[in-house]
Amino acid sequence: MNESLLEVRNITKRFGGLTAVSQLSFDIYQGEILGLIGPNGAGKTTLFNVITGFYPPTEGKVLYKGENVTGLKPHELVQKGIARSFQLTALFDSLSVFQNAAMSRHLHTEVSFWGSLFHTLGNREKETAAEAKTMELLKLTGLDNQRDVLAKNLSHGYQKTLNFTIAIGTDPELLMLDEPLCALNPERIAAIQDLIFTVRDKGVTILVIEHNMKALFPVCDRIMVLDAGMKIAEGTPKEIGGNPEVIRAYLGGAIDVSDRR
Amino acid sequence: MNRSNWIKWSGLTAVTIILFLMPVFIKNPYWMLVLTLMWIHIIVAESFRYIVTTGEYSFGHVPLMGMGGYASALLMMKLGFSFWLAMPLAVLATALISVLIYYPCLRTTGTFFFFASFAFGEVMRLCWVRFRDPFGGSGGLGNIPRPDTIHIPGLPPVDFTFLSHASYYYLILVFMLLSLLVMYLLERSRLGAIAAAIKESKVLASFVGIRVWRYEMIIFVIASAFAALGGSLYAHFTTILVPVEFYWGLGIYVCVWAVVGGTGNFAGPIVGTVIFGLTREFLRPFPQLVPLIYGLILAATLAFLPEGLISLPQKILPWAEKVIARVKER
Repeated sequence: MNESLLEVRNITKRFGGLTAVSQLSFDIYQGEILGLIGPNGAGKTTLFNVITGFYPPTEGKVLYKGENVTGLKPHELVQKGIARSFQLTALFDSLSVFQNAAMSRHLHTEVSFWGSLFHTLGNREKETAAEAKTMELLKLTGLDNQRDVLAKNLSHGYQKTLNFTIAIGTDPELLMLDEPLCALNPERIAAIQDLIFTVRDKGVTILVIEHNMKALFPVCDRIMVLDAGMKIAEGTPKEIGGNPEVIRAYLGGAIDVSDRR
Repeated sequence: MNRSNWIKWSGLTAVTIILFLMPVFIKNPYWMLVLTLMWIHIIVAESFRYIVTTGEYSFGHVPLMGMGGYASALLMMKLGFSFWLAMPLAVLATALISVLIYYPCLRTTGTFFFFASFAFGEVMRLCWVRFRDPFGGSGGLGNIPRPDTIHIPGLPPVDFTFLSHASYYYLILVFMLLSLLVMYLLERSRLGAIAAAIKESKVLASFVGIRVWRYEMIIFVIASAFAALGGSLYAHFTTILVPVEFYWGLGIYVCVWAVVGGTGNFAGPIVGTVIFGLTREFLRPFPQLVPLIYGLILAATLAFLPEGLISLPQKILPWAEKVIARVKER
């Protein structure tokens, strides 16, 4: 097994009397795709929000590359290389697809303040380079022919793809995807699955939350199952698909885990 | 440079030349005062819109304008500073105070930000009322000195003693044009792009690595500095400052000018301020009608042109083209 990229240690999150996540520990290893499943209210999104600095955990800590990153703000985590996408698509609605993608390059765009104020020559070169990078990104995710469409006018499937594009535009080492495959047609599902593999092949480690089991199982190297804030199983998709406790708690029946790869 | 850019810039140059020639055509000193005051209002409305580019509406903006006026007037009256030193110092002081005010306000967004900034505005106004020394209480400050005469070797001295002199008009016109230029460049720069992202979604902005809080603060402080510039010019122009002028009502008027003109477009607040300014002048014989007409214009704009009066040509053009096409068919 590879080295751990992210170590989650005894994370507990309580909202008043409700314990959303309780004493949860797990590792994400360099270069893998880890799926996170569980019934509604199992604490999946809460766990995401704790890891990405949305709320501080009640107890426990998160280590990234051995460094304690518990409670860091989102922009600090992005700087360290942790990016996320959103379950309910979050986009810069009134900006174009290109502007959305360009904004995701914020940390990698070296434009000086005075340069951009007066449109200096040196600045124009940098901007052209940044634009080329953004176009490359849009080509990768297949949005290049919709570059001037406003984000709010995209179809739902492409909005999800754009959400994904923004997350990978920050050049993350750990990409956290919140339900990237749900409520999509088969064609978009296949496109996003391919994209997940492409991004992984570039050396990015991925954590995916998903409800759509059929679409998720072929993508993952490993799957972790949460129920009522606790980890009830962890293993390869085949093991999880055949685990009687998981089936009873959540899946409600055996599922097809035929490998898409 | 492409064609539409060329038209835009030559149009702007023409407008600027007309503005500079205004005193030659307008002999009525009253109208010169009206125009001069309008240029100050444009600085305030445009800087208010600069805050709105981040999606927040600040009602501390007009009191901060007053802060600039008081600071500049007191520096001249109590410490004997020259206007040319007092004005930049007042702008700087207001920028610093705006950091203190917006620091707590920025913990909130939307309606809560609106109320928090409103509360701080009222605190400022009540300070001017309660602390008779140095602010003069509810009677305010009177006899505020005018800007000092500028001596340029080889030219006759430029003095600002009499309002009828076009020099005061030019002083404020130049500051207005400079303010608009700086705010325009800022909006077109990377800072403007970041503001647009923050307006769309603060959460997503923070997840692409933007330090939302810091950029909002930078924008608010710049906007407050321009409000203070407007306030300082206003104080020495009218020579009187009264706390009641900076009450929440003027804040609402500034907001109405910007919104009716269109906050989505740089030219929006300019259009709004000019239209409302002229409306008020033409309604001078019927002052009781002013709020009513303002309300009607606001309601009609929000109902039919939610993007402001600035979007009127875009709405009318397709309609006009249709009419022309129909006429041709016949």
